[in-house]
Amino acid sequence: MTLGKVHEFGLALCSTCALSLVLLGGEFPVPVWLTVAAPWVSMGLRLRGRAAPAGSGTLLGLASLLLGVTQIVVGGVPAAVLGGGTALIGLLVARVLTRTTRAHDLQTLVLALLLVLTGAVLNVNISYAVMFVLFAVLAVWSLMTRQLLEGAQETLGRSADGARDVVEWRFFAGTGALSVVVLTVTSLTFFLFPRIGFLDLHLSPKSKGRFPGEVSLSQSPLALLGDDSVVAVLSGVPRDAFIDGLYLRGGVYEVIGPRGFSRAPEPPVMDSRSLRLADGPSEARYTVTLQPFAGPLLFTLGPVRNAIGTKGGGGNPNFKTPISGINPRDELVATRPLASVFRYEVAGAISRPGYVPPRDRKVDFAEQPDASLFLAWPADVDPRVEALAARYAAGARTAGDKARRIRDGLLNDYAYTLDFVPSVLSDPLAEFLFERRTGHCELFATAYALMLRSQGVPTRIVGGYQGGSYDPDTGDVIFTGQNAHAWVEWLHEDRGWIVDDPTPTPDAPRATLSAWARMKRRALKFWEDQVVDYTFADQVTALRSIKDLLKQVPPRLLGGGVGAAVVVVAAVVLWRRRRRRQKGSRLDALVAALFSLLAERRPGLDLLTKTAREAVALCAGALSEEERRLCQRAVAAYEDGRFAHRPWPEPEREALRAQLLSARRRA
Amino acid sequence: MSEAVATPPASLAARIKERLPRTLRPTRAGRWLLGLTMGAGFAAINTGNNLLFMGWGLMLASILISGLLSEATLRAVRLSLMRTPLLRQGRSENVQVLVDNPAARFAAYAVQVEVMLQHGPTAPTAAGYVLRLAPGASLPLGCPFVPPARGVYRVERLFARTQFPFGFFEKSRRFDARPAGEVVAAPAEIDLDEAAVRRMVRRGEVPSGQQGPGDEFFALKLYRDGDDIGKVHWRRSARLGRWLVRETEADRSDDVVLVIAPGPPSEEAEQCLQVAASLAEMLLQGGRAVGMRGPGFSLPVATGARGSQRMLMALARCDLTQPLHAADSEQSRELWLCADGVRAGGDRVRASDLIRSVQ
Repeated sequence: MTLGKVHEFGLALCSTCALSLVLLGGEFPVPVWLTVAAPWVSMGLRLRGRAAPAGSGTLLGLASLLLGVTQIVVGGVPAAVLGGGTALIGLLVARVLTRTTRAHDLQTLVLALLLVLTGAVLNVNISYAVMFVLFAVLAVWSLMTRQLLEGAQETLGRSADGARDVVEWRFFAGTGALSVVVLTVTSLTFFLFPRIGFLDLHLSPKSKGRFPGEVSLSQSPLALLGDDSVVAVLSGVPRDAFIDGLYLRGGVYEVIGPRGFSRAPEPPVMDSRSLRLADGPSEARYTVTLQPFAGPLLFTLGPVRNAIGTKGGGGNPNFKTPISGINPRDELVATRPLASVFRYEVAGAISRPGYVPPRDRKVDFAEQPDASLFLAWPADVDPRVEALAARYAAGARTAGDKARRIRDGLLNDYAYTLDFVPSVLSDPLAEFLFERRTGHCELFATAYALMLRSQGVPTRIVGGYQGGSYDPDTGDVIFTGQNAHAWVEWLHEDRGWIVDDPTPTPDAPRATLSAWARMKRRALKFWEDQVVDYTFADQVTALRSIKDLLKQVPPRLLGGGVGAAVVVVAAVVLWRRRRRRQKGSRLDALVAALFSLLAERRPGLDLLTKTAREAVALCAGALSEEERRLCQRAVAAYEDGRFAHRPWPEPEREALRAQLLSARRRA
Repeated sequence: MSEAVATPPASLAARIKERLPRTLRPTRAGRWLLGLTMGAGFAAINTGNNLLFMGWGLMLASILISGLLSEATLRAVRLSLMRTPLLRQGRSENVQVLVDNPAARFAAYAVQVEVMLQHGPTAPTAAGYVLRLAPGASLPLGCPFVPPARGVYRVERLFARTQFPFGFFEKSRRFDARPAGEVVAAPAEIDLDEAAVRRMVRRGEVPSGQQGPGDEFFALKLYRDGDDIGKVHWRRSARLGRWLVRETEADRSDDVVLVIAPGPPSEEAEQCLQVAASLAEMLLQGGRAVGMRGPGFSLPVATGARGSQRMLMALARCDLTQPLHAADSEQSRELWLCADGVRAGGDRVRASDLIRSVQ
């Protein structure tokens, strides 16, 4: 393979890595993924000596700039990075497709580097690390090959594209070693440079929040479920509580109808002292590590007595995001939307469906200003729903009895499935209750909440996560998008909001992590703790631990070791310098005389990259027998001195040199 | 051959000074990188974004590694000026430099060799490029160079430059040639008008006093079988009643001595030297023996390539202000070349008349 091809391949890979690094952040629509084909198209064109028309690049660049600016204008300052990323992707694609010179190649690499810097905000997943390492290796490769080609072009005015002698295993090994060195220095810089962050610009598209404010029953529940990426990790949760089933409480939906449920435009005005979420059966102190996908919402396992943010949440990990408190929806909220992974400690109860705490106090629900919100009955609800509720709750007097009987009715008469796609979009609830009789958690929760309301019990739906996976090594519980769930809270008039779940999920996802999953979890935890959220405090802790480690070593041993190392290094340096000085100039003079004679005998012969021995062999035909013997002796003297470390006596070398010069003069 | 090896000076101060001549300058790409690094560093320090710190670290590492590797490359490379064949003014030819990589394991990549040529007040450069030099290899490198004027170019310094490995910075190392070498450029080759040259040379020929091939009349002789019928002298033959044919006088010899007249340096004088050089080459290629005499030098009559080289070398080094060298022999025919023309056989011919017209 020629040097030109190696360079083209490296450049295409490098550009692809930079594009993938940003796209894997998930901020761009799927069609944008097509841009990763651009570097390969460009490589194909360049190897045929072609490029896309320059005009198309200008148009594409202008269009991407326009799109980026529009995004910033529409989205404001928080969308600046996204808009910049869009513009950069377009510019990179335009540049890579229309490049014709080595300067264009360099511009491509600079744009790719800018894209990687933009990815620092657009992609904080562990995929950034993988792509970053690949990018670094390939950037080293591309830059080195480009530099070799550019140097030949600039100096000689001709390209070295076809050079093959450079492309050898040593070159690749050297490039690889250089990449390792670059990455090592990068890591050292990263871990040692003091984290002195002065500002928190909060420039993260993730701060917009992804937790749905509205859920439609006409859609697949997978829209809420999402993929298997981790959304929250809980530490310090008792194992018994995990086995009983955990409900990680997120957002509350008050507006409920036959086609879905949503959050009220304004939080309800309620007396939070008396109408709070009822206590659970157990108390705990646990730590939540929450991904930034739900705006300011902080997920909890139940009522919160105390909570404090410990790390992250903002654009600058050195600043902790303060927790605002509990809002009238009994939600724990931060002072502002999260922009990065947030860690917070919670002290409070762990709620569980079906648990009704002991009598607390009597409150008058009817006097609450927004009480009607929790009993609202939409006009378009099928009348059969109310009739079904009445049939299930027949004979029940208290809210608790009504809830138990309706829940039992749903659990007994209906089955759980994720494959519910409504055929009648106008009333998926009626289709679920009276035709299909199978559905998912959103349908169960909606049906249960509306039936309780029909019986005069105030209700609200809660969106969050249920179950989780247990990590036996650390005791952590991990919730992923697959654990997403919806359940109901109904109001017990003197005990507060009671957690209840009408969904029949006997195989609720409560699993123990496999070894592979645990390994992935470790990597992810390291990435989040030691890279994304690495702070000045972490640096101080690391330095202290090193100091503590050194304290354990006896001072004499430490001093002796350092001294010995210095002596050894100094000795090696001096020895190398002396050796170089001894053999350097004399050998140079000898080989210079040799090549001088050979160049004289065979002018114009290409001796490029030839060793002295090869050069003599090439010119042998033009040498007399005596000269050939002389040259062979000179080669032997040169090689013995340089490589075998057996330098010939200096007078002999000088005599050889004089003979070579004399032979040249005779020529 | 002039060896240009950077020998380490003795004292510490001198050694520090020896290191200083390394120069470092960012390339255009390097300036971009520096700007980006400063921008990314500012953003990283202010926002505390760790991934931005990672990108910044990568850029800092690139700069650091770039400096270390370019230094390692330059320290490995040795340059020596080789004997360069005679160059011609205005023609691209190579200045020969021996590039040596004494390292036992590591190849040297992307080394640009620059030869600084001192010629009066001007200092043109010749540059060559080594893409890869295997460990232990020595490479005679030709650095293309177009001499702008004839004369001697002194070589006191050679430079090894490299942008290795990333092309962000160009670092150069100076090698002092001890003793100073030199590269010689002969006057430019001029396309002469062959017919004009033939006429001019013929005019300058001196009769030999012997019968032989030539143009001048020598004697009449009786016709014998085999004689050229075209040489019959009809008038005399008719008068005497016997066939008589003309004999021609042979040229005395093929030797020509070109004489360069001294004079003040001027463009015309330089053109005269160029004509002399080209004329000498043309005559020598035509099989004639040519000698040369000029200000401060005299070359005996010679033939072939060796004679050509000697004359070109003499013309390259010719100082027009020196007095004309005395003639070694009275036997040779001399062609006088002057700045304002060519004096031959007492006639004066302008040098420009010998140059082939562009049309």
